[in-house]
Amino acid sequence: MIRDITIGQYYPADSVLHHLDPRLKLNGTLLFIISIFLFDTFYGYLAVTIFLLTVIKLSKVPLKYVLRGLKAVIVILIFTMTFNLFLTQGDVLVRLGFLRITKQGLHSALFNGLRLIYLIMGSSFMTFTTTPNQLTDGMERLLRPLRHIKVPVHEIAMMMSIALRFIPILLEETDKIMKAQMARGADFESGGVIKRAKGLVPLLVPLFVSAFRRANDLAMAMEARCYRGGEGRTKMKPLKYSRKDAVAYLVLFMYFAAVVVISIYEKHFPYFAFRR
Amino acid sequence: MEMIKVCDLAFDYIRRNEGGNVESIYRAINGVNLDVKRGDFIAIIGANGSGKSTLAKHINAILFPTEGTVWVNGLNTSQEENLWEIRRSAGMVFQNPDNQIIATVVEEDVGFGPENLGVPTEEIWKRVEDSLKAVGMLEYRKQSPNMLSGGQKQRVAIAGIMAMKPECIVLDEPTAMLDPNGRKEVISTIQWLNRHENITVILITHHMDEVVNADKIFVMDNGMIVMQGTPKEIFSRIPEIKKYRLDVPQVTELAYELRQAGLDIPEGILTVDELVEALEKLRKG
Amino acid sequence: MIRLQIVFDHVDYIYGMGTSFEKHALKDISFKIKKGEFIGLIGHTGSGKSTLIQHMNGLIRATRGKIYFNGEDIYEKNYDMRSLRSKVGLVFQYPEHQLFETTVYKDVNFGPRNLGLDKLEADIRTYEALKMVGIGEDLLDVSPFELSGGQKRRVAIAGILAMKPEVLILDEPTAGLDPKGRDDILDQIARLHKESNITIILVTHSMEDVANYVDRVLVMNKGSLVMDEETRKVFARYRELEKIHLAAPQVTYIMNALRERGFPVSTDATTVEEAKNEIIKGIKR
Repeated sequence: MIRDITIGQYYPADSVLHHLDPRLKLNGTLLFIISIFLFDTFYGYLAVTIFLLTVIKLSKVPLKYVLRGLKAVIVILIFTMTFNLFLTQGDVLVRLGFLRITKQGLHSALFNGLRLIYLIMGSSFMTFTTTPNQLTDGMERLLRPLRHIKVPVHEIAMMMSIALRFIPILLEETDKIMKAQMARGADFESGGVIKRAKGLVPLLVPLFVSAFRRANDLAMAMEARCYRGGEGRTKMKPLKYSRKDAVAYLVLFMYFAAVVVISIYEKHFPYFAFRR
Repeated sequence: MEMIKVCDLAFDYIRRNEGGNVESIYRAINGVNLDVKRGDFIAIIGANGSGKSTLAKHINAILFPTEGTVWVNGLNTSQEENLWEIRRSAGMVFQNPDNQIIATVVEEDVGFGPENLGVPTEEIWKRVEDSLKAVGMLEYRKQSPNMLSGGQKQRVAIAGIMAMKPECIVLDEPTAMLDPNGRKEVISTIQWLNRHENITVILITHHMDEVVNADKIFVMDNGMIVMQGTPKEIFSRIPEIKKYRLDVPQVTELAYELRQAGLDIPEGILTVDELVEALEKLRKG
Repeated sequence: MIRLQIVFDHVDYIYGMGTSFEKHALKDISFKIKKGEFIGLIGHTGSGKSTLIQHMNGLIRATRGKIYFNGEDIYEKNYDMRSLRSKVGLVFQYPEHQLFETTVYKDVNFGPRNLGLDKLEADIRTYEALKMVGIGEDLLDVSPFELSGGQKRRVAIAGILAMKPEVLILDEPTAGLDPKGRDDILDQIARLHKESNITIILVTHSMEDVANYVDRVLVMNKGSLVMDEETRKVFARYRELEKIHLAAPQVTYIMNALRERGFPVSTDATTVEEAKNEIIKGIKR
């Protein structure tokens, strides 16, 4: 169950996307996120869907694996959709007691749900196709200007990369501790909010203790391997833009331009749109 | 010049309360002297809490002596300016395979040390390849460490040290968390490195069957070195070994028991073959 | 009449069904365990041992097949899983990693409290369990995090014992302990078995421990149960064990080597004591 979470995981494969520069992928993800918030129209969604499907195809990550990532946010998804469905004012379609479903509500529940799904899927492709080390390298480079205002860019990047490496380990550990406490009669499933929160203590304390022990070990291991911050460090895989990246940037901008055009166009010719 | 020289080493763990005042002092190492020659394979054995890990951490300059001196490759570990050179020349492998792998791809992890040393990119790639080859993990270079077995993870950790071109490797209970096959993998890897790459090895363990091939064994108890000698010398003193909460391989124990029962068998038998030979000789008389 | 306590009837377990991660972790497992047996469960890492034992107390549910505890089908609709978990105590690997309370006493008390026992009964069980594992009253109010490795492990085992299980399953209870710590724990378990007639299932990688303590061995390989026999009979098949990356104790190899060279010894011996007697008998002939 808990191991099903695929967000933030790297999926090893030999695809075009895996070979692109992480800076490009970071910028691309940002652009993608902006693009899905630009509009809420049918053709806009069509464009995004096509783009996303192309990315999935190119990445060689199985669709099933991508979809599993959604499991983790299903609660948030249902929340968002329910709120949108029942709390949007407008033309009433159905009445269920004091609840009303409006046409606008249906529309926004559908599209906001879709938006969230795309958001998760789109941004997980960055981690699927980029090793955490590359990711942090990319971030370090993109954020480098911030060093001038004394932001510890290298340290932040290193922290993130380590966090990503230990996510699966700690998840597995959570699973193990949970089972071990269940073997001692602990109950994580029943009872009210307070009882459940209290029930988490036997899980959280060992988990924190273990995380601290691991952090301590890791710090020692890093020091033993001569780690002393970003100064004087070289890179095994230095970032270099290639032709592929140039092409990818071009595609990305074309996509973005298309989305912008569509959303402007639909504002002026609302007949095409699925609008309220 | 010795690879490692430890002179009258003592080390205190000091516990302080919230106000920063000393609450308790625990002497983990108490007057240890130790010389390790270049190219030797030495083993330090001892029960939990005997001070063997604390000693190991001094060789890598992670801990610094309370009293006495430690020299690595002729450099005094207490002098700040020697720190990085010492850590490069005496690499350290730790017990928990998960908690010492930093990167999410095998080859990137092996490259971590050379990156820290400021080695040029091309040279890093060469070193990564050579080190992974030396530990027999080259085919796994693109894999995630999470997919590897415990023994394989430890070999990656060893490769990570090898990529820093050390003269010496200190292994702090590298097999404690592994299954028997993983243990065999790790031990044969370090034996190979010792023989073929002439790396000085300091192996810390409480598994006695791993040290039968060592050049010299040091037994620690209560922060002190209480026995030292070749495996043969050490393993012929079984009651003493047991006193220090340790054990010997079944074959050594059996040979000892047979000797006690009056059979004329040589002391310090370490392998099945040796015992069978000895018994055959005895029978043919 | 000795009754059957645990029965596995053609149990299969497949996880990640229908995904690319699908794995057939247990394949058609059937066996019976009688009350009061001392059983060893061995197998290469990843052979399915851990999955198997988690079926015994209902933490994992079989994909196919039935499991009976004391004659009752545990997958029956109204079967009380929580009471099963208290009757089949499962000590996980590195159990000290689940300690969480502020004192040793409270931590061991956690299990009995969860069973809904009244305070007096829970207290009595806590005292008894701590006594069984040899933790003295002076440590009751100490934080479990201040104890030594071996002590922590024993407190964690007491946490399971305090639930008064009828079956005690231990997953590598000696991993990471030094030889003396290992013997202490195993001796305590053996004593517990003798005094209270509790059924013990010991998962281990150490064939020496199997030889010294266990009556009957289950051998797992790639999700299948490949052997289920008396200890000495399993070790007699040592060549088959090697094929699945396991081994017999060193003594088995000694006895077989001697036999091959014409010594009149039985190859049955698996402990040092038995081997010594056999050899002395054989050599005098």
